[in-house]
Amino acid sequence: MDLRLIDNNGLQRWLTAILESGGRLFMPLTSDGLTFYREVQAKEDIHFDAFEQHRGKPYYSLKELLFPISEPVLRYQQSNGEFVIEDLAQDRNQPDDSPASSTHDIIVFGATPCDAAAVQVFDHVFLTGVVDPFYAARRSKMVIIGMSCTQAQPECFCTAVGLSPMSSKGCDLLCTPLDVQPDDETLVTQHSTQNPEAKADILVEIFTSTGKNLLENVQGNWREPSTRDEVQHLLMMKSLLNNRVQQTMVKKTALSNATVLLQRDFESPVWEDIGKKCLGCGVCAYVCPTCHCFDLADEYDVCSGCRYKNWDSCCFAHFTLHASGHNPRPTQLERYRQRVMHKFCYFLEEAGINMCVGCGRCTKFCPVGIDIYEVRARWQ
Amino acid sequence: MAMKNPYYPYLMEVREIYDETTDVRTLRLAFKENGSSSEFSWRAGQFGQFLVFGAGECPFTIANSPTRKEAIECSFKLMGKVTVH
Repeated sequence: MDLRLIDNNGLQRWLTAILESGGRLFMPLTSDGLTFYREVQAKEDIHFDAFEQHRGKPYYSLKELLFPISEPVLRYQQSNGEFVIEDLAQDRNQPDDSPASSTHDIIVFGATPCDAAAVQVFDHVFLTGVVDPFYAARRSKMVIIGMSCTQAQPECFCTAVGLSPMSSKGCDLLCTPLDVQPDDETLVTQHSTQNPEAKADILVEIFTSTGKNLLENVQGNWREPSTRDEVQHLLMMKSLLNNRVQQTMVKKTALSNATVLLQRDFESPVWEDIGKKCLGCGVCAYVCPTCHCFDLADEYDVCSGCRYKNWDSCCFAHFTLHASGHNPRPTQLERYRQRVMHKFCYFLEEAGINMCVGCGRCTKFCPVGIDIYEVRARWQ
Repeated sequence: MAMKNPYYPYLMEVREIYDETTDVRTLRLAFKENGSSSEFSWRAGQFGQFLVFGAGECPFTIANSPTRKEAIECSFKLMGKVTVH
């Protein structure tokens, strides 16, 4: 295991150095009370306290950077009765605000472990079989630096879907603030005997060569653990801290694989009860780190237009509406059931990946309080 | 080598029109771009996603044999926004 240590100021200075070296840095930034993963425009924006307990999650997940809400895929023009199509996947002159246009790496700092883990769902959808060149261009440039959660939010249930507040899945690097509280007796004793000065250390684990290259290419005030004992001690500290955070989680019971049960109960009256509540607003899909359905739509005038790929949701009434007026999913019962079945049954069977990372955003933002964890926990 | 854009459509030209009934019309469509007809293949029963720029797109089953690749034949029933074009 390749480890480094750095303090909060050192980490901020390193991120500033990335920015100054021309890298495009994205991190959770708050404006008007809402936090999103946004591009850092000036080094003054790199201001955070890794030891802050109440960070919470960005409003939208990391998917926004790989799969924008709306993205042009081609343009067309008609002149003298002939159509000319401009293929935007081949176009190198995309607008500057598009990450695909940049030759620099897209460095994401501070990804929550759930958001980082969700990227593997997108990799499966957009890079397996038919490859989406827009996604591939962004993904190949992206370096993901995760930040372990030191406190669980009420909506969190990552451990129930096989992840953890300090999971490294999908991360190139993972930062864990070694946040030792005075009341953590075991940790305080362990820590002070090993390295009394290291109380404000952030542990950085290196998981990929991409992450390692970034560490080596941009100078920082890194400290490498000197002995095997120190490495073991640091990993044990992380494990103890991980346990401490997990103990504060409310939704603990693991959601075991229930594909067979879900299929058996496809016609269960339970779906009717849930379907009556669902308004079909689609917020669950928008805030979800793994939902990836999209629609192609044209914006056009008389002789030219642009075709966009836009986020969509299976909970929208129009999602499956046919031109004839027939809708194979006529009510919210069928639509919400599809959402749950896709996440916990179909995708799991097809890709072997859980299509829920337990971030709980859908529960937090649902206007009628539908809790996907409670819905899914009915089948165990 | 640039990556292929899966959202990039094949441009087709309407070669022949048959009115099957008052609201079902069959079109015989030929590929406009050279080489497209040998690149494009399908199996009996498969559908194509047909788009009209500005109107939208919708799926219809290809009606001619996959061994006759020089054109695509498809019958469209007048329904919704795309087929009125």
